[in-house]
Amino acid sequence: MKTRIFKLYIASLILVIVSCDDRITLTPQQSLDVSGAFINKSATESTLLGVYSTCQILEMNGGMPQIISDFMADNSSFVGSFPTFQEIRDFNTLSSNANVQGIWQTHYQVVSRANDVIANVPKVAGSDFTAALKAQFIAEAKFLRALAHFQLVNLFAQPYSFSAGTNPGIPLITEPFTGTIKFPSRNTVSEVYTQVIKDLNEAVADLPAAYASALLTKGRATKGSAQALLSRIYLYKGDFANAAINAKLVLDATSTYAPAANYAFWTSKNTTEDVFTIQNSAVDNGRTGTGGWASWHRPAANGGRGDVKYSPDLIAAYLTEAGDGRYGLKSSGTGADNNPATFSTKWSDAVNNIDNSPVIRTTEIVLNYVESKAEVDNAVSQDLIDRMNVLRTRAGLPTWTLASFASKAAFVDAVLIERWKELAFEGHRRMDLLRRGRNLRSGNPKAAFGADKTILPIPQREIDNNPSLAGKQNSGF
Amino acid sequence: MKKNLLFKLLPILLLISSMAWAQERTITGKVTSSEDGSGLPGVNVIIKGTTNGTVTDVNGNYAVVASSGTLVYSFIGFKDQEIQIASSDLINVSLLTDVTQLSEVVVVGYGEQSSRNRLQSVSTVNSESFKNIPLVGPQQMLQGQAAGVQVVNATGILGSAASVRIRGAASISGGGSPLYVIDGVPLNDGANGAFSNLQGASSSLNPLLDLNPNDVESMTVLKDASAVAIYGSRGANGVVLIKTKRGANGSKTKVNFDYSTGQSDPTKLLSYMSGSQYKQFINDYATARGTATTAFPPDEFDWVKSVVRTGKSNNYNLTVTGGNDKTTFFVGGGYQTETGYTIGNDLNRLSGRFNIEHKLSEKIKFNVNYALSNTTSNRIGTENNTFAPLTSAYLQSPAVLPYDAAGNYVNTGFIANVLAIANLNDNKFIQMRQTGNVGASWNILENLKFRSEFGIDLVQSEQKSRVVNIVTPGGTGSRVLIQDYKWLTTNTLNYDKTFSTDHAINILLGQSFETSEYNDITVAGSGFVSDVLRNVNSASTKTTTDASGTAWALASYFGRANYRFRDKYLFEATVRRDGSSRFGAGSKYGTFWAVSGGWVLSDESFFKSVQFVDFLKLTASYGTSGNDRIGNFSSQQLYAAGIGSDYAGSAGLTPSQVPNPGLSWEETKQMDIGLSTVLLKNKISLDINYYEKNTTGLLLNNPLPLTTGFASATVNLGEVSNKGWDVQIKTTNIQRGDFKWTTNFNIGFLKNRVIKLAPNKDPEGRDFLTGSAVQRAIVGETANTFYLIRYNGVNVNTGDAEWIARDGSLTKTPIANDRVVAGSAIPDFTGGLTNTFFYKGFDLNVFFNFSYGNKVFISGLNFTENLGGTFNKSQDLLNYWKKPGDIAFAPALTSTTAAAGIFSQNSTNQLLDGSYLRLKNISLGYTAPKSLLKKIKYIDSFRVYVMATNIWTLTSSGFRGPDPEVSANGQSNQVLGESFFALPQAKAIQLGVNIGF
Repeated sequence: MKTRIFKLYIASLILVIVSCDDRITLTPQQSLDVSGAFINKSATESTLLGVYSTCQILEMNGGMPQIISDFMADNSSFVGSFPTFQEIRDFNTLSSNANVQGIWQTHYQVVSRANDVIANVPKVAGSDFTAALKAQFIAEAKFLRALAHFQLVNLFAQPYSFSAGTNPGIPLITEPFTGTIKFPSRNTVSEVYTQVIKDLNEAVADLPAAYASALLTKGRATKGSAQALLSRIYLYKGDFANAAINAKLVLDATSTYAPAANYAFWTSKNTTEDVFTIQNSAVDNGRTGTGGWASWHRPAANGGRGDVKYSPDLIAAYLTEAGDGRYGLKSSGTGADNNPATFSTKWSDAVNNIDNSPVIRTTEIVLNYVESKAEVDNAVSQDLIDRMNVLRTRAGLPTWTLASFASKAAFVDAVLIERWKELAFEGHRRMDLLRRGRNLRSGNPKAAFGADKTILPIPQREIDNNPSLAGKQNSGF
Repeated sequence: MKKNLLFKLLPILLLISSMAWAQERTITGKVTSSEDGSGLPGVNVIIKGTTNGTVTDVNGNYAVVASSGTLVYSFIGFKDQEIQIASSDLINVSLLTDVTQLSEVVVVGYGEQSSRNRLQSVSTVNSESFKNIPLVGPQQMLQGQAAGVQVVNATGILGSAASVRIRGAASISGGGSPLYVIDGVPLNDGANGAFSNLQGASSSLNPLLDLNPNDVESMTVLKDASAVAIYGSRGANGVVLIKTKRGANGSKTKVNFDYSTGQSDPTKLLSYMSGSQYKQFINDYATARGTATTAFPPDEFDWVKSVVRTGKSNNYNLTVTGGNDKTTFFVGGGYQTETGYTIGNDLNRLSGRFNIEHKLSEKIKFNVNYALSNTTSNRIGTENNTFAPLTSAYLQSPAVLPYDAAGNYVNTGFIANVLAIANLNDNKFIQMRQTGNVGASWNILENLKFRSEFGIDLVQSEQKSRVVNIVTPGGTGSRVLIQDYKWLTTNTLNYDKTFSTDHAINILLGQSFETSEYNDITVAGSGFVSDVLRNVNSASTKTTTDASGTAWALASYFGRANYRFRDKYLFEATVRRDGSSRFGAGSKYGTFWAVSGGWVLSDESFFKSVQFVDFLKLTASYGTSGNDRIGNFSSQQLYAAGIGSDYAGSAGLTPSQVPNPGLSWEETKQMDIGLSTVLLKNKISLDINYYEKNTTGLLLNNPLPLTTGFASATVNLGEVSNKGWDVQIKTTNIQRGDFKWTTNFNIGFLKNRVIKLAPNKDPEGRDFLTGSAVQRAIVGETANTFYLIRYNGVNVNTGDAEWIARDGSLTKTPIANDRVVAGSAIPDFTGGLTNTFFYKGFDLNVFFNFSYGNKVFISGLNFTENLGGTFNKSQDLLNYWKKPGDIAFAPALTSTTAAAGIFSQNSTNQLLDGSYLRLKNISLGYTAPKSLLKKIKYIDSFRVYVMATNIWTLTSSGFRGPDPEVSANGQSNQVLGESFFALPQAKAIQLGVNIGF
């Protein structure tokens, strides 16, 4: 009897053994392979959304490059604990800086993932996947690739104005990574601008003017957002004519893009004030333990870190005119250094981090247009004064007249100050100073235009791992 | 009690049965130990050539029915004795103690072998070695006890994992901890995350947290290829076999109760400024640099003092063992409560174990080993985490107070109010674990045995967190449930036969299948109406709803053949074929093997004349083993779905992994030469082994240029070698009358070298692989080489901090290119020294362990020695340069090198000598003599003990770290010897009593 039971047992064991081969072939439960990612239209669209999702990340449009740009300039003061940010603030940045590496890495993830979409979309089958839709997906990916390349060149290279674009820029990556490691070298700033402009011009042709919902029209790339980004790029390049043309194209689409009547758009989300805005929610946002828009700008009492406060320069600038509504976007609290501080309230939710990440706002396009048009015309027109007065009125300040300005130069200077006050904390200030050849801060030679550490170092890890970058580090690092 | 009666009845029964055979008679007698003359219970008394016989009773008495022939007396730890039955019916026997080492049976993979005939290089730590040591983690038993085993206790946090490396890390990024096997069940090691809720450090919870050290009979460390090859693709890092306690045949049922209680304090605290020092320094610094000073309020608070307390522990253990010739059992229960020396940290463990073995017939045996445990812990953040009590206490400005005027907790900003966190938040960890197996053996033929086992390791853990309003506005809460369920089946055939008396063979053939499935569910939310509402249910916004799962499987076939000629010439061969779900489609199966041979010189006739050598054996082995810890699906190109890929409310996909279909295990080839000897009439036993381990096909996270969009790809590329000596010496120094002094010394020398890595040149032209910001593997150096700018000190004339540039010149502005090799995190040698003294009932045990030649990097010093910024600082900074000629620790406050982050930037200034000698444990016990206990009924044994742990540590002068034992990155092989703010080891005093009934 007992023996029989054992015989049965052994027989069943043999069955287990025979079937083992199947049992050691397992598939992952939360991931797909490459064929799955581009198997049909909807999977491809998910892979494209994955590129937007990458832009959500802290180190891309989740706030890190933006707060760095603002505290390197005179816009804000960093009072937080991270030595990596303190280094950048003090223009003592080291090439081993982990946050700098994170910024580099995330931007190239956006580039790589965009390239992946651009290369694979044409191969996807399916009758519901029309040629127009394929072209649109590729155009969206090109828009995001351009955004990433452009943000990179602004951070890691001296501006175009430094030597008319002949100085070293960043490596341009336009091919997908399929496993073969390439070691790209640095392209010049001029080459980067050329590629970025090319990507955006191609994108404009294939992008829709709008999507099914306001959330998507503001949250995904559109014809308008590509033109808007072009206007910024041309402005940074000093090509005022093209900056003005592209800005005007955006502003003429008045039903989609118009300056908001008041500052409630910061919480109401996706109004005509938004041109391209990364969409965040409580469950899906870019905040990490390191920070986030609200996390850095709100004090601990509101759930944030209280790391970034108004700079004395910015406060002084607002106080030159009493009752500036833009200066109303603030609160008082205790900073990360335990000292009293004034914080921006543009991003209010440091607990759930539902605030969107602003990338391009209509107000910026108005300012792009006014500045570049004045430069192109070499004169101030009533139209430009009127456009500025929309912003002045919204801020509760007296309107301007043509008589307010002695010269075009005085007007442009005033527009640049308005630009600072409008776009404060959104990451514009550093490039707005540098593109004009101005110093980031007064009285600090390290912050002077062209000084070594006004730009970030190529991450040491990248220099170490890419032989083509050996000896190509930015000067001073 | 019942069994006692049985034994007493036995002679009578035997007498009755003897009447049937008039020619037979009853032989009676007493078996005693030659050492002390005490009666030996449980000795087998067999009539030679038959299976007839008996065992001795509790007093050593026996009665056996026999006519003529020879009686064989055998008992573990004693030499067998044969006595011819003569005319007398009374045969008293005094058994000689055997050379304990050699008669010992050692657990090896899928079996046991005698120490004498063993070819495998193993170290065994028996329960005797860690008796009375209150341990939370069983790995601690190995520290300083087994040559070649390096144990680094990660932190003083309760339940944290110790890092264990056997003969160096045979891997760089593939995971370096050994495989743990309890009674034949390879444990889930938490690689899937059941133990990896990190809370600020990479050091996770201990995978052996649920095992009650009191249940452990022995731990055997398998080291060389001949020992680990039987574990195939998982053997390369060594294997630790844990055998739990069993019942004993023929002894009366024993009840043992053990209770101990104790307290603990940190061994060392870091230097930090007092409130007045801090305020003075901040304003001196501001004044010197021309920035605005701060008007501090008059109050101050000592945060460090407020988070450190005296920890308390209580251990209760109750075991019952017993059995007869059919059934033996061990039942153990333990309850342990411990509060850590930092606020908010405690751990309770309730565990039970049931081991039973039953003989169904002479041929068939069943056994069940089953352990159940429930561990609950209040966890705290650790290392790089602002919720970590000690980390935040070191960094918090002493000018910041935890309470407002009304005595309520306040939000202290970025450096969290750790008092409020400890008192108001929840950070609970609850784990239930069931580990065990059921097995049956069937002696198909006299020499052929079939054994089948079915084992499980079911881990279920829960993490529950609640952060109150004062810490995060609105409050947040989360709950994580994790299940890691493993089952396996193992089936072996064993053939064991001795031909004539010259040839002995043992053949093992086996098959096993093992699979594990991991699942987790996470929910989190924020926005609570009240702190009283503790569950995510009450959160207004549900921020996370997540569930994920993964699985792996391993199918294996293995065999081992062992041949001995006259027990003098020994040979063994092992082979294992593993198929793993983790490897690429093209390389699912791998074969691992080992061969070994040994020669017992002392049995040769020409050696008999060497009087002082009792035993001498030479062994050699060579073979392969693997390491499969690369994650479950590393070979496939993957696109991940989930929150990280989603956008604007729609599901997204992002590429997460580079394809590598050829991905396979790491293969380690190991050569071992060993000498094992016993000298001077068992006074000295010595084991020396030399080994060379060479690992090829290293699973490397090959760093890619970030421009690829990927940080790294897992590849089989690279080679690392570990060579070294393991030496173990056990001596009986004095044995005179009631006094005995024994010494156990072991030391492991290790030389680790990286032979090959993925092409990636440093300025010297050597390939390297980055481990951390300060540590890398470099070809020609160790796998854990610190690569840092050299700090030169403060210039006595200028007051500037100076570093050494690559060209050797001094600089105030060092750059990354100035980094050079600055030392290794791998010690040259580690080991332990135990001296034990016995006098009458007293025993004194003094145990030191040591580590030499390794460096540790304390990145917390980047913060506490940062002259700028508002964090609290080390008092060392008060020694700043003031005038020419000053030999100062810190630069002049006006110096450019005193700007925030410059002086404290990563350099050899934070790299400290990690060598240490530690009085790990000293214990004094008293065991009441049997004569005294005889007067007290019901008590068989009684012992009291007192023990102190970590009471003295010798470190290099100028050691500014919390503890020389640091391992912030836990099980990572790529980052050793680094810490942010490690909790130092606890200094503990323990008082206990052990009573046997």
